[in-house]
Amino acid sequence: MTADAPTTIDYDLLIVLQHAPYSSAQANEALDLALAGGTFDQRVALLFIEDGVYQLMSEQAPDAAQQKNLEKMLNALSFYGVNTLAVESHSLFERDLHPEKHINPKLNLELLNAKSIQALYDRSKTVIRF
Amino acid sequence: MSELPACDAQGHLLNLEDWNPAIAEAIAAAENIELSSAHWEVITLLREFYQEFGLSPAMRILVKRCKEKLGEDKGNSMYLLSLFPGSPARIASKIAGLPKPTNCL
Amino acid sequence: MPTLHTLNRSPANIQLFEQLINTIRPGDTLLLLEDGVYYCLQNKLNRKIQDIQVYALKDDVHARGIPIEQSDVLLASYEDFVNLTCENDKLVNWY
Repeated sequence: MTADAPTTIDYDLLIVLQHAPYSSAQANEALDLALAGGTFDQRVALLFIEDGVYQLMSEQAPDAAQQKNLEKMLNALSFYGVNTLAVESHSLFERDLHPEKHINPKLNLELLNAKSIQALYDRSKTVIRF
Repeated sequence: MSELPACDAQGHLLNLEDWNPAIAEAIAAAENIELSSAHWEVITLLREFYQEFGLSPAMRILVKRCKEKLGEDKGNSMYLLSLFPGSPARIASKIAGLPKPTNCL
Repeated sequence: MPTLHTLNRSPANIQLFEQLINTIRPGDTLLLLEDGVYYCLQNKLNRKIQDIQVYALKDDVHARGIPIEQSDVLLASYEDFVNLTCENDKLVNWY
């Protein structure tokens, strides 16, 4: 350990979403937690990584599959005071996902590389991975 | 008055498509509430919120939404409590034919 | 012995996909289910699997917001799923 200057804590809670939506309940549970945190004025940041970036796709229509629409839940985040949505850019690239073509335009996303992801972890008091 | 459609144990409709204004009146009557235009304003706001986000808002968020859409004088818990005594978010969502609010801790 | 293969994991599961392409033969059919439908976003599938008809379950594709316009994948309903099961001699699940 070196005597680095103490890192500022910007977020009470960092939620890392690494799984695709719908095939498991993890994405839904992660978003429930994000909304609960926002409701109680916690400073919440979300990080979408690996298959979790599939949650950001536009025009999701899970009604026929009888599932809750997670795209709508994502759109609610800003109203609940959750405004930091970070995405690992390499995960998008690997999956042939193009922000302007595939990604929900209502979301204000921050593209991060590995180094800035490390910093995001440092700036968060609690980290929960889904 | 016709029979109420299927509800869960807390009286929320099981099928959201079953809702209509007459059903809303009936659910409200069971809560001893007679719906006025002030009630309908909140019910409509809740239904639009659900349409947009797929969520029934809990109290804090409902207050915030009312403040934004209906103005400062209606965006507070006292006003909502006067319309839907007890637990405004839960009772109003029930009358609006929506699920129980999420994050209703 | 034509076989229907179903795949329900995303392209991130590289080893699973390697096993599948080492096993599947021309004349077989591949049906993408659940997270398997994310293969529709990539060209990788068509390059690696030749002479194999690929389907994706329609409800799963729509749920996930996947555009299918320039893909060689055909959309299948649950009824098609049943028919494919009947038309093939056996079914192998990749999950």
